Amino acid sequence: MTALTFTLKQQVAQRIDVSALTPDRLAGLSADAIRALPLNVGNRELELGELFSVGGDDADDIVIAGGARLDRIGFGMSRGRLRVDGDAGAYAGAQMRGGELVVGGSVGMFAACGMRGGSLSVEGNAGDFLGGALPGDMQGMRGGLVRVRGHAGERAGDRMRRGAILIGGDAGACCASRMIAGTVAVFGKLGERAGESMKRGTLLCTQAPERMLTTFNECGSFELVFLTLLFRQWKALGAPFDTLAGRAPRARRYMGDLGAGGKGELLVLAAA
Amino acid sequence: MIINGVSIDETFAEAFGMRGTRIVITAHDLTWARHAAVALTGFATSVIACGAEAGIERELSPEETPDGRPGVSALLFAVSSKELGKQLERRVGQCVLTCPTTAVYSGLDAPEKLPLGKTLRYFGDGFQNSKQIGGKRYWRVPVMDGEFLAEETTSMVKAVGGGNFLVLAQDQVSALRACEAAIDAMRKLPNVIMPFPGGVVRSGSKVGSKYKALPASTNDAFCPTLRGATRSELSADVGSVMEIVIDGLTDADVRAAMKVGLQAVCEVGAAGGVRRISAGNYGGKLGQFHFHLREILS
Repeated sequence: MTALTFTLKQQVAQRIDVSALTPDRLAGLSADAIRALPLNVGNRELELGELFSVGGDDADDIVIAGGARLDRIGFGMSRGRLRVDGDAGAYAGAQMRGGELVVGGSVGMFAACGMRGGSLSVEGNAGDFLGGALPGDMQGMRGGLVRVRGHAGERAGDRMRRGAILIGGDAGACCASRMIAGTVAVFGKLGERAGESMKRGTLLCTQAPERMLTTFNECGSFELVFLTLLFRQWKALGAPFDTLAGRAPRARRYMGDLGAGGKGELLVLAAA
Repeated sequence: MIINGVSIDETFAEAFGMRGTRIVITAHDLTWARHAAVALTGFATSVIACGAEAGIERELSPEETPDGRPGVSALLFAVSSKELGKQLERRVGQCVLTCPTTAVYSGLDAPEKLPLGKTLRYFGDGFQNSKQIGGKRYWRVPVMDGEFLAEETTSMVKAVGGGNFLVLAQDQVSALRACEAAIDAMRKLPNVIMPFPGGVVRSGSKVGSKYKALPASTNDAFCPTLRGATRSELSADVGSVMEIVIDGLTDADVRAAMKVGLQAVCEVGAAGGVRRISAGNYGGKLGQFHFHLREILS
């Protein structure tokens, strides 16, 4: 069996909702049935075969070659593997429950929103609200692992409840805002107002932010054993996430946001 | 059966089903991991009065522990799941949580779970928090030296307790030396502990007593000082008897430990003052597991 491959025939002006292209929803469908699937394109509905050329037959291993106009890639998927050649649009991996979504390029806004399990790996950058809450939801990401090798936009981990978000580059403003629990790790620079209204959870960074919110209080520098467990877990994830393995688990701890209960923490790792 | 001048009785050790668990304690260095493990497994020789039988299984190198620090693995056994849970909570709460720099992890992976950090976390008074790492939940409890890390649960398995054999020697020192040799050999095996002090017990018991309040009393048939006053099991050349009791995660583990222990005693042999090897049983009616000495040594 070869990977089921969808290649966009030509770029369209409108955005395309490709949430139907997941292992869960394509399982057991014939090639003709797949080509006949209705897809929302702007305010129209078109058959998949009109937009994509389809190859391969393994619905548990899907490849999509498209672009930044393909929204909701891997939306709600629970199993299998989905690879994206190039960029993905908004809501990539949103509501994911399992499986593996790999994006070779960058993802748009709201990637991994409301995610509950599985893993999202982004080779490029991520837009705003990475791992955040879908509009109207009270909780963001609730499980799973998100890796972004590049930079993330604003409010990564907004209202996040569980799971881990690793950002290889810089994070935009308000990273981990309104965070409820979970772990966000930033290997580059933290933007303005990091941890704003954070209730609990961990925001881990390798460089101290230029300006700390006044509602975060310093607790001192400590050896935290759980960091070793995290670093070991991240060892298999490739650069730059594997660079912490073997490093002393020493971090400077700031508790906050004191305006929101103050039981979250911003950990600044000690230099290697 | 006679091996190296040692007579092996045609008898068997009678062992019982228990519940067992393993935990891994790590610390800044091995000394402090050992301090915690020694306290945890203290006063845990017999379920008759201790609630649990426990012991240090072995020391672990940093490469073998979840957090890359030196550690110790300990096994705990009790008569029921409920009692094992209670003993684990008390012992880890009082002996590991309290010991500087330590962390505690599950040392077994099985479907039945026992709370570990799950209940101890409340010591954090609301400042505790949890982390899910690699599919497991860990609790971080703030304490005065920093943070106590405890895995949420450990696993529990059906285990075997009360495997045993008796070393009958010409005198106390000979019995002691033979038992020390056996314990040295048995401690190299995984999945077993010998819960008595130094692994050896000198006060083997029989069921019942002349005193109504006591469920067990001294095994007078094996007491050399009573040879002239009771129906003794000891011949004139036996001056001292010591017992080794083994608890293990499976009957195969207990059997393997008994085998190396018996072999070590036989190696000491008659030249080292060992006369006989026997075993404790209750006629085979009480325990599910029977370990026949001659079968093990054949």
